[in-house]
Amino acid sequence: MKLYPFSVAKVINEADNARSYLLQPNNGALPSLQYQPGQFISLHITQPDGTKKTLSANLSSAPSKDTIIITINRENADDTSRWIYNNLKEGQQLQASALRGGFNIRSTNNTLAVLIDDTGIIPVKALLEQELEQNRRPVKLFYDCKSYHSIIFRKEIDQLRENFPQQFECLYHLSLGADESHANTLKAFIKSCDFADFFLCGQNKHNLLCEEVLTNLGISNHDIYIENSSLRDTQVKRSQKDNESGEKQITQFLATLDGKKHSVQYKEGQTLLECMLSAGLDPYYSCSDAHCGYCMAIKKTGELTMQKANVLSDGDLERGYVLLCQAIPISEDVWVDCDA
Amino acid sequence: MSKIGTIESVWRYPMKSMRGEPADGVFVSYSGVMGDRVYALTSSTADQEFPWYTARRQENYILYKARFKRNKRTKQPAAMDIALDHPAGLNPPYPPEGTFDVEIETPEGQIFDVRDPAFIAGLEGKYTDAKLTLQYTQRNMVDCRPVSLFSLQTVEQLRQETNLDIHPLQFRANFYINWDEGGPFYEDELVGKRIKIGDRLEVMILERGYRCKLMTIHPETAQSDTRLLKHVIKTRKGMAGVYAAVLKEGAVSSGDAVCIVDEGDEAT
Repeated sequence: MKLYPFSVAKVINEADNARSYLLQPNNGALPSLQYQPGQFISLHITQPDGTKKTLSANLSSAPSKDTIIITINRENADDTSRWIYNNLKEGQQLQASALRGGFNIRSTNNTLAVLIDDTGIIPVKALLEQELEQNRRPVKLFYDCKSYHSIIFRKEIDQLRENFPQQFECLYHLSLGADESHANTLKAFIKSCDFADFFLCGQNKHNLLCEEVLTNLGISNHDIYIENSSLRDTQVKRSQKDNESGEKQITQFLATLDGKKHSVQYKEGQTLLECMLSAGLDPYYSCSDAHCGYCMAIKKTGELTMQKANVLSDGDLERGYVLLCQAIPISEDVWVDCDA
Repeated sequence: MSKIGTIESVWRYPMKSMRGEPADGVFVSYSGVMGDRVYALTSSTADQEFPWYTARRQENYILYKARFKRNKRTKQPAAMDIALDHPAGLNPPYPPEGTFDVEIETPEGQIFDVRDPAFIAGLEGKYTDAKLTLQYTQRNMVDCRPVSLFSLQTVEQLRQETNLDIHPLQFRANFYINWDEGGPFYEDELVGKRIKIGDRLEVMILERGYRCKLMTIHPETAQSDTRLLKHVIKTRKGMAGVYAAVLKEGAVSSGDAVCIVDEGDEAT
C-alpha cells in the first residue's frame, strides 16, 4: 500500500468528546484531493516510542472543499481512536493511504431520509452537503444524540437548515436511553417521509432499531441502505448482534507468518491485517482494498467474513483463501496461514 | 545511442484480461499499443476505481481468445507515415470504430461477436452474480501506464528462483525484450531513461510495475499459483517489469533494436 506524508494543519473541538483534524498532504504528495462522501483514509502513526498505530478514519469534509478532515468521536472509540484524540497535535506528521471506500446510495428523485447517531454523522456530513449543494432532492435528517452538547457539527447542520429551508429538515433526538420513546419518535419521523430512500448510518444498536421500525412500518428492504459507522460491514453486524446476545467476544486469532505462529490480539471492527500491523507484525499487503491479492492467506480454522473479495475467484474461496485486508473473524478459533 | 537489446515479441490484448495476440508491426501511440485493451467488461459489483471484470475473479477468463476480425487494418493508421513525417509531427487518426470489431472464442470453442449479448449472458450467472457491461474505446483501457515492458531474462530468473513453470505471458506485457548484456531485472535500471525502439518509437521508462494476482495465472492452463506472487512480494517488493510513457509515436516489430537515448544524442 502506498503511503503519503501528511501533516496535521489544525485541530478543531467539535463537541463534547469529538475533535476534527484537518490533514494537509505534504508538498502536493497526493496527486489529487478529489474524493467522495463516505470514503475513509488509513492513518499510519509512529509514536515517540517507535510503536506504530493504524486507524481507518471516516472523512467528514465535503468533496467540494479543498481539504481532508477526519473527525474522531471519543465515545465508544477503540484504543487507537482514543490515542489520536488525546495525542494528535497540530504540526504532527503522519502517513496515510489514498482514500478508499464510499457510500452506495442510489440516485433518485425520492426524499433521502438519513437516520444517524452521533457516530454516523461523521461520514454523513459530507453526504448531506453534497446532496444539498449538487442535487435537488429533499433531505430529511434524524439525528440521535446523547445531549445537546454532544451534537457533532451542530453549527454546520443548522447552517444547512438556513441555506436550504425548502429542501432540508433536521430533527435532533436527544436520547435518554428509553428505547420505547426513541422508537416512537423514530416511527413518527419515518411516517413523515413519503417516497423516501432510507439511509441508516450509526452503530449497530442504532441501525438495528431503525431497521426494526422501518420493517414494522412495511418499508421495503429495497429502499433501505445500511452503513455501520464503526464496522463498515453489514455482515459483521450479524456477528456483533450475536455477541450482544451472549456469545463470547473474540479477543484473539492465530496467524502463521514467515514460518512462525503468532497469537494476535483482535480489536472489534478491525480487519486481521489491521490487527497484525498493530501487533507489530509485517504481513504482505499493498492496496488494502481487495484488488491486488498481496495479503491472500489460507484460512486453516475458524469462520471469517469479508467485506469484499474482488480479487478472489470461486476456486480461491473453495481452497480457503481469504484477504487479510478484508477479513474479520466471527468465531474464536480463527487461524490464518499467511505463507500459503 | 547505445543498443541494449532486441524486441523478442510484441503483444496486445484486444479484450482486457483475456488471452493476447502477437502484433508485429503495430503502431504505438501516446495512449499505448494500437488495439491493446480496447474492449473490457465492467462488473456492477466491482469498485469504482477498478471496475473491471478480470481473470482474477474467474481464472479461465484468461483462456478466452479475443481476436480482431480485420487484424491487419487494426495495426496501423492508414496515414501513419504521412502524419509522422509531417513537420508538425501529426498524430495519425485511428481507423473508424468498426475496424476494431472483435470475436471471442470461449475455452469450449464457441465463437461470439464481442457485442453479442449471448457472450455476456454466458458469463453472468455461470461465473458471477454481477451485471457485466461491455466497454469499448479506441485508446486503451490499461490499468496503470500506456506501455509495459518485460525481459526474458527476468522471466528466466523468476523460473529459477521459484522452480515454477512460469509463462512469459503471465506478466501480460506489451513488449518482451532480450537484453544484449543486461541480466535479470535490468529493466529496473532503466527507470528514468529514454529508450528508442525500432525506427521511430521513443518511450520513457517511468517506474517498476506493481504486480497483482493476475500474474499467478498460467495463460495456457488458467491454473493459479500464488507462490509466484508471494515470491515477488518478498524479494522484489511486489514489483517486476516496467511501465513506460510514449514520447514519440511509431510502429514496432519483433527483432527491432532497443537503444538507450544518451544525453548527447540529437533530439528527435
